[in-house]
Amino acid sequence: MKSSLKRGKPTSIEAQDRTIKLMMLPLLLTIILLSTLPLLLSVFAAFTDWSAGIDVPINFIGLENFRYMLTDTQFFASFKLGLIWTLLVTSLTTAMGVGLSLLLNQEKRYMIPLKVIALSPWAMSPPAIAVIWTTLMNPNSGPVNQFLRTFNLPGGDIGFLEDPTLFFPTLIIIGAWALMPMITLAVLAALKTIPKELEESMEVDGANAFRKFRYLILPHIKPILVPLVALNLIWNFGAFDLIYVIVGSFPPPNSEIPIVFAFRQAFKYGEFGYASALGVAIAVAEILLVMAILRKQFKAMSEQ
Amino acid sequence: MKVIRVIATIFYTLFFAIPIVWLLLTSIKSEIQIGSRDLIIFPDNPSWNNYEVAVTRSGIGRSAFNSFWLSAVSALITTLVTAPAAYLVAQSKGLLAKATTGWILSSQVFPSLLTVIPLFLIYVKIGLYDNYIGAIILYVIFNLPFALWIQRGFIRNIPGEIIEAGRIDGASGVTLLRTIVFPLLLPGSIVVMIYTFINCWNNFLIAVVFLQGNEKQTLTTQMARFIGTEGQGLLGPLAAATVLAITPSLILFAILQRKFSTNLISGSVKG
Repeated sequence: MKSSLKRGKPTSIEAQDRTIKLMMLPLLLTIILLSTLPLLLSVFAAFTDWSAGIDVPINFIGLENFRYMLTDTQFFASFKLGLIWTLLVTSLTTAMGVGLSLLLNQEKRYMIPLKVIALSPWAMSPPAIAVIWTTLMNPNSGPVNQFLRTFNLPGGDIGFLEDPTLFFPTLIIIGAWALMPMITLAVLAALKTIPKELEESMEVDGANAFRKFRYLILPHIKPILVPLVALNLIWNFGAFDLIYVIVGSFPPPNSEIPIVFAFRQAFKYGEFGYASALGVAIAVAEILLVMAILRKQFKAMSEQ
Repeated sequence: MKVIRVIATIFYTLFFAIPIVWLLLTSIKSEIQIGSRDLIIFPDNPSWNNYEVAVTRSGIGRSAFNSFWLSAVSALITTLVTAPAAYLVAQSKGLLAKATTGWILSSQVFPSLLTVIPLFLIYVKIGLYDNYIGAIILYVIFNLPFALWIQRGFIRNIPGEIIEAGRIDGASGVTLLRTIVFPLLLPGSIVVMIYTFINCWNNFLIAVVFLQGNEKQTLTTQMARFIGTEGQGLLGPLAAATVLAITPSLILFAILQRKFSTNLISGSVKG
């Protein structure tokens, strides 16, 4: 026996790792059962008429779900909304996040309160953010409406989260508030890697703030910024919690972004097959979005 | 330039501070003050009544307790399994490393809803639905990819000779873990533990889908129940509950912030 030969001798490298591998085996099985298998199942389910109920037969129906999707006006509305939401909220958070990180990078002592408060939404749960903003936007007691009323400005009595046209812009502002800390943190860390001497020598050469940003800062943060934007596009297109919690309470017509739409198809109407097909469509859209971004990046890299 | 900087600073400060300050103010106002259509910024007679109502009634206290222990147990398990797993992945040059990277990536790309639907059906079948253990397993599985990613950033900074030295010592696998892997990965483990705790504490999706019973609600799902029409008369206690909900994660986040941001970058640059 192999193991008996080793008795008394120092345990070999292979044996050490084998013990650890054995210990990790249950974890691996759990991952396969509860992470890999569900993913494969949901892709499979996208091609079935799987729906809720006891002993309802599951039939393989090919591309029927996707064909239905193409005729589903609600799906198109939600997909369009999802794209607009993703592009707007991602560009807004990126632009504002870069600006904020430039401010915070000055490392002045009086910037610390801003840093603390501007990063704090990162640590808040979606329901907490929803409470904060529904309180703020309450048409009756919220300060926004009260401010407008006090100065007799238009919109004093409009519920910003209830009005069909104002709801979505308000949601994007909330999104910017909630999602900016992540980008700010990452860009701030990237800014710290810029050598001080480079910055100083540019200042000596008389470069203005814009040139400094364009030729020194931007090239430096780009390697972080591009994957960050790609990740944010994915996350925002797949955003669920925050919007679900807010929309769940005030559902104006056509206000569901794709994931929320799919979630309701599954857990409200029990259409698991169709919801899975929606999930697959969302994943494909995300991959296409990211490929569009990264292709631009590759192009830029090859031109340099 | 200086003018722009000052204006920008004021703008960002107001944008981030007003919602939080308003929450704090709402939490110490009376029901009448909250319902008033006049602009009341500071209440004349601030009271802690909303906090009392939030904790004792409305199930917030109970759900906060659930959130706390579920998050603590999940964070502990995640931390304990991530260190050896990250070690194995770092040792492996072949399939395991590639599969792990693929898993981490796919966990980011595929919307979690995609796995939640079949998971829901699997859970109902195997009796883990509406079950604390089932929820904890999911908290761990959902946090593991990012935890592995963080821990990988840390393990790369450890010189290989230190691990080799532990091997030559002739230690058993368990001893290797206990004397080399866990101590060396302690900084990463702290980051993983805090990060996972915050993530579980703030998680909504798993709790809303997999925990159904009234007594099993977490802080996030319990709060979500009161947002909107149901909570119209409860704005004060709801604001108080929100203050209580964000305080622990904000404290942990402050501890985490420095370590996390630097390692996030090193992980993404090297990975």
